[in-house]
Amino acid sequence: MSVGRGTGFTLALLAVGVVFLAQTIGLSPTGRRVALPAVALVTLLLLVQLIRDARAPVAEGGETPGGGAAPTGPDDDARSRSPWRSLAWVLAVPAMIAIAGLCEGVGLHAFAFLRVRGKEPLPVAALGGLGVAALVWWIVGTLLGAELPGGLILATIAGG
Amino acid sequence: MSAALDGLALVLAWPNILYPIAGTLLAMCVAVLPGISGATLMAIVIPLTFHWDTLQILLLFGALVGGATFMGSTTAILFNIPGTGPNAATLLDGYPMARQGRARTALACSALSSALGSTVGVFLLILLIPAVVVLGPRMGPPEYLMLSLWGLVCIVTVIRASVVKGLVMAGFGLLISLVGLDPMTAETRYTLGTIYLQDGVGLIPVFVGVFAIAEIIDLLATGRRTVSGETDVAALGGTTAEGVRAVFRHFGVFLRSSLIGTGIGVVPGVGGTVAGFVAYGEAARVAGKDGRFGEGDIRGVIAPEAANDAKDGGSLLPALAFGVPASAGTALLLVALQIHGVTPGGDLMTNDLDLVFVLIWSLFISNWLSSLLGLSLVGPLARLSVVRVSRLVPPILALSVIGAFAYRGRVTDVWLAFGFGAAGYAARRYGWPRIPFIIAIVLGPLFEVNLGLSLRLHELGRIDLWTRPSILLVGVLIALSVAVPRLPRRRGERS
Repeated sequence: MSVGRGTGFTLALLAVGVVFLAQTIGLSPTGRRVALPAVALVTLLLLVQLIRDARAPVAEGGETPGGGAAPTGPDDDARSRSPWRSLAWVLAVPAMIAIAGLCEGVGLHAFAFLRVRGKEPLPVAALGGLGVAALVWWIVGTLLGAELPGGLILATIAGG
Repeated sequence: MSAALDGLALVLAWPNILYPIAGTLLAMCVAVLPGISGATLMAIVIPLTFHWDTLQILLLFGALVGGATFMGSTTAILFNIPGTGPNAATLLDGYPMARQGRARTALACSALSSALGSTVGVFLLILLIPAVVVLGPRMGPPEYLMLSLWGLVCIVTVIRASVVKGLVMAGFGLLISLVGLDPMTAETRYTLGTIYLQDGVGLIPVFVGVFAIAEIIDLLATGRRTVSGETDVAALGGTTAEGVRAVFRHFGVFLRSSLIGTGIGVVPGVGGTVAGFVAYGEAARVAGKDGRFGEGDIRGVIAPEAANDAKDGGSLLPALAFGVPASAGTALLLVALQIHGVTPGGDLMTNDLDLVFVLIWSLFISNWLSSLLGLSLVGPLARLSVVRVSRLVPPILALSVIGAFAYRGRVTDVWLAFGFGAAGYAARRYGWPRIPFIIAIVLGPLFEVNLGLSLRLHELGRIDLWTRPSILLVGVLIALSVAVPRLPRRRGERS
């Protein structure tokens, strides 16, 4: 039997469940009053799901938060792009924030996204990046009065 | 009655009426930004109002409490990002409607449900003032425990595809809600040795991750050109009138949700997020097999929006009658009142009742004003669902980052949101429902704290079921929640 990606996700959840279980055992009786029944149920049900997966592999994709069939649109006929590439584009945001800072990172990501993925002309992409950075600066820095976290670049410059 | 009329006359008098209008517009603008709730706005505004009169404070803060609630649902419906925590339940069906090209219907329905829900909440508030003064102090941990149990039981009803998967996700939600310090013993749990996790996992970063960021990944992965799938506004289905009619077609759902919202609003510390999810779960339970909850069922928009706005009225009761805040918004309202020498309690409820009604009417006007403005904005807002995804992604990601960061001012919350985003996308892709996860994460702390306190009270022999009718009442509601959906099925099976 080959292990499907749906089964792979179940196994990943089981691994997380086992980590929770291991940590729960070390808790005091009061601390695990709710946790132990919850983690025991989760682990047990994940094992049941694994057996189910082995018998009838789950069809991938296209399910709603409720678990039913996803709504469709005219151009939603195929998962035409790699989910890994999409995931990488989105996870690039925290990476950019870590490197360049909150405001600058989000702005740079917006510029790169609009230029490369959106194939927008350079001025439009630059304007989009600046606009998004300004939005972050205005809300976080001005409206909320919070300190805008700097990135590794700023830390290196300040350290050097 | 005369106090109510006096209060209304004060609100409508010139230039007093400008305060609720200005407060509503301010709250509406701010509520669209994720992570910035009406409470955040109040915190910003309090220092600016030190020299104001009590009347002006009441007029403005009533509007700030009421104005933010509807607008938070617009981003929930259009982009799967809850503007405020209490709007989180709206996105479960509102966003699927937008994806089906029915954003106009969802937005109009949300606006009207909000306005009518607040009306129910305010009128119940007026009717309940005498009763709450007597019954309020009797609410204790066992009642809160039963309330959270009711919400958790509702999870079973919102699981549509696989009960095993739904229960696993609910279990994980419960476990995530336990991360941090044990509220009874201060023992650290699941913190992986980090100081950051000792404060627990923030709800807003989780909401932003599981819904907004996961949805962006999915939009990119599917190669969808626009959120609705259409590129022309004319091609969008659904109308404002359809959304308005839906509220009256499902009037039972609306009324039940409004009552749930007001009831939960009265309970201190529970809040609008719980009200929205409990009402949503109850609507899904009643709909049974007829419902398509989680897939764009209009009742999934009516229920949380009605409950969320009705809650505002209910939450004022304990705040004004006992000085016990029922939400962050009412806590800040109390702070503002105390700065101006207004002490909540019996004195306020008897001698200064007209001031209480000023607050209530200001809240009422603000709820209607925000909803009417919302209705007029349905068309322009729905246009956002035909904007190219490649142009929407950068601002949505920016709003997600802002929402996660603004919650506690920690960049780690942003990492957390993106982590939950990746996990939420995987859950969606492989058919693991996210709704039970979210409901459990919201109700987990309420359930655990009150379980601990109730057990302690039981050990001390301080719980007598017969002197606490509300426990029995919620117990009956739970039993009905479990039993009623099964009755017709069995009858059907027999026939």
